[in-house]
Amino acid sequence: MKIVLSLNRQECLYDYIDMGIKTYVLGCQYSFHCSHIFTLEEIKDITEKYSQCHFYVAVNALYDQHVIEDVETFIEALSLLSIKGILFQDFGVLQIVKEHQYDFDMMYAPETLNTNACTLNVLQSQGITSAFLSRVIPLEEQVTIQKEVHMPLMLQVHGIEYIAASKRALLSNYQEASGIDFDKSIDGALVLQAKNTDYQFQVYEDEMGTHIFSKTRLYMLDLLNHLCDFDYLYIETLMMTEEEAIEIASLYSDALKSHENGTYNRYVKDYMGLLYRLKTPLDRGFLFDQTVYKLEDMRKMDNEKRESNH
Amino acid sequence: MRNVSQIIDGRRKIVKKPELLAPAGNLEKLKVAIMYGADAVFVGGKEFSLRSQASNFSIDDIREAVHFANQYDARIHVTCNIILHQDNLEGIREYLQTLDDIGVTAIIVADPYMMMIAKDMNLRLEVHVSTQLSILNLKAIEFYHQMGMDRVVLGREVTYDDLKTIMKYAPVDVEYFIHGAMCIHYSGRCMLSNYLSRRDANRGGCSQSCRWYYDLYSHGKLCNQEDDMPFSMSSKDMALVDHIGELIELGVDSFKIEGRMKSLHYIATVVSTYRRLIDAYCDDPDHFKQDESYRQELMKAANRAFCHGFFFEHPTKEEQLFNMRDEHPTQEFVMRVLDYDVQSKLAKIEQRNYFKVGDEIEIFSPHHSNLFFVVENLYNEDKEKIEVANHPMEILYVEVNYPLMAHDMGRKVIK
Repeated sequence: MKIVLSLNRQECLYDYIDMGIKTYVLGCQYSFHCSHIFTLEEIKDITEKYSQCHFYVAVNALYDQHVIEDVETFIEALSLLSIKGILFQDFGVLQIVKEHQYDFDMMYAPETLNTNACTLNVLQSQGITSAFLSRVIPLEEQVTIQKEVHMPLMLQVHGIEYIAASKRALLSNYQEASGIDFDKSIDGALVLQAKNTDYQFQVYEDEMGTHIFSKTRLYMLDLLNHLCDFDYLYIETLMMTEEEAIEIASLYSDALKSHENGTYNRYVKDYMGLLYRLKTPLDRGFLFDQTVYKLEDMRKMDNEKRESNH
Repeated sequence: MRNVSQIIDGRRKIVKKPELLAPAGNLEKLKVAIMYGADAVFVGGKEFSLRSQASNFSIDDIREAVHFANQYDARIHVTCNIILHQDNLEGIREYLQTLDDIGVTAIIVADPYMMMIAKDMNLRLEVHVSTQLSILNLKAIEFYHQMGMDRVVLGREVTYDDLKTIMKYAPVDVEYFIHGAMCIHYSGRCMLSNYLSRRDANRGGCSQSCRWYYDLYSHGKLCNQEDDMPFSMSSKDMALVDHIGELIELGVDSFKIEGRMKSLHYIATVVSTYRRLIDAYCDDPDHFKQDESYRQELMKAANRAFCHGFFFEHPTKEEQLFNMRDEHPTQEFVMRVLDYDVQSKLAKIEQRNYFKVGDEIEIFSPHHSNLFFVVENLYNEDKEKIEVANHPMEILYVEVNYPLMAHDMGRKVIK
C-alpha cells in the first residue's frame, strides 16, 4: 500500500515528502479536473528536483479531434521527463503512447467504468499497465477485483467523489438564462441541491466544461485492514484547503505507518478522532451500498421509499 | 476518404447512402420502424442492455425481429451496452452465441470484456462500440479498430468540423446521432442517478436526474430565490434535419435516431421523415432544396424543442430547457389503419387516443403523401354509429374518401 496524492501546491511537497509520501498525481493543461494545474516547465522542475519521488500526470480528459494532436505533442514532451506514468480515460491517449512506444505506466482512470476484473484483464492485454477502480462499487467488489486482476490497482481512500462532467458550460448557460450572478469557478463554492432531496453536490466550470463532485469526502481511514493488497491508495485534494490536505495526508500517512508496524488496530480510533476534529463532511460513498438497475428492483426500491414516506 | 457520389447519366448521384438506424422498444415499434423506412433497427435484449425501463426484447422477440427485418432487407442491432460489474459476468458467451445463431447483424457494446469475447468467438455478427464510451477522436477510433471492432458510435460531443476530419481517415464504420434526446453529461461518465436515486446509470437504471430542478447555493447562500428560474441540466433534443446533406457528403456510414423508449407515433414520424429526406437528397444532391416541411413534420411528434447539440458550436443556453418541459407535440396520434374497404370507403382502425366526430385527422404513411380529412362517420366494431372514440386499442371504422393502406397512421390536428 502506497499513498498517492493529487498535488495541490508545489510548496507543500516538502511536507508531504516528510510524511513519507512519494507518489503524486500532477495536474496539467490537459487534465479534466485537478487540484492544481502545473505547466510543463513546472512539471520538469518538480521531477528534476524530487527525483526520489514518482510522478504521474493526469492526461485524463476526453479529447476532441482538434485537440488530440496537441495532446500528442504534450505527451511527447512528457516522455522526455522523469514521469512514471499517465492517468488517462481516453483510449486515444493510450493509442498515442502505444504508437510512440513511450515507457509510461499507463493507468486507466475513467472514473466510472472500472467495475469488474475481466474487463481490466482484457485492457491489460491492450496496453494499460495499472488501473484506478471506480468508486461506485462496494468495497467487497473492489477487493474481489483486486484479487483477480494482475496489475497494480489504485483506489480512492479519501476526498470528494467525482459524479459527472459535461462539455457544456452549464453554469454560464444558467447564468445567462436566469440573469443571476455568481462565481462559476472553483472558488465560487457552488453547491447544487436537487429540489425535494437532501443530497448536495459541488459544481464548478472551467474551459473543459462543467464538473460535479460530491460535497462530502469519501473516507477509508478506518478500513486499511481491508485494503492491504491494493498498490495505491489515492487521496483527492481537489476542493480541499491547503491545511485540510496536509492534515489528511498526515493522518493517512501515520495510519499506514502504524499498519506496517502492527499498531494500526490499537490507534485506529485515535486517527478517526482526529479526522472528526477536522469537521469536514464525511461519507462512505458506495462502499457498503448497492445500486439497482433491474426494473423489478427499481420498482421495489421506489415502493419502499414511498412506504417509508407515509 | 469515402467515395460518396458518382456521375450517373450525366447527373451526380449519391452512391453511398447512409444507413438509417432507428430505435425500437418492442416488436410493434420495430415493425413500424422498418415499414416506415429504417434500414436497421436497434433493440435491447433482456440481458446486458441499457434502458431497462424500455420493454426489452426476449430471445423469441429478437428472432421474430430478425425474421421480419429479413423480409425488408433490413438489419437488427442488439444493444449489449451495460458496463459490466462482477455480478454481470455470467452468461455472456451463451447470449452472444444465441444472437449470432438468430442472425442478428450487430451488437452494440460498451464493455471491452464483451468486445473481446465477441471477437474471440469468431461470430458472424459485427461488434459496434457504443456511444457510452464517448469516442471523440481518431486515435481512440484506431484503438478500437486494433481491437477488431467493426464500427464506432461517436460521442454526441463530436462537432461537424471534427467529424469532417474523422470521416477522412476513420478505419472503421462511423455511426453518428442525428436525432433524439441527449445526455447533458459525457455518456457513461455520469453518476448523478447513482448518487441521487441509487439507480445505476451504466447498467440501465438511469433516473434522468439531470432533468430535475435544483437549487444553487454560492458560499452557502441560495442563488435562485423562489421566483427565480431553478437550475436545470436538461438538454433540448438534437435534430440535424437541416444538415442531412452535409452529413451524407461526408460519407457517415450510419445515421442514428435515439429513442427506444419513444412512442410508435414518434418512431413512425421521425423515421419516415428522415427516410424521405435522405432519399430525396441522394437522388439529386446538387439540386436538392431543403424546405421547412421536414422540420415541421418532425415537430408533430416532438417531445421537446429541437437544437443542434454540438454540431456547430458549443451549446449555449438556447440548447437547454430551463423552467419548462416544452413537451408539446403539435398533433396527437389517434389511430392506426388496419385495413381499408374501397367499396364502403371504410377504414378499419385501431384507436390509440381520444378523438371524435368533427376532428380533423392527418393520415401519414410509408406509401403515400400525407392526407387530411374531417371525421364525419365513425362506427364501432359492430358498425354502429358512434360520436366519440375513447377506448384505446378499440377496433373502429371511419369513413375516409381516400384509399388508405394498412399501417397508415392518423394524427388529430390540434388547432
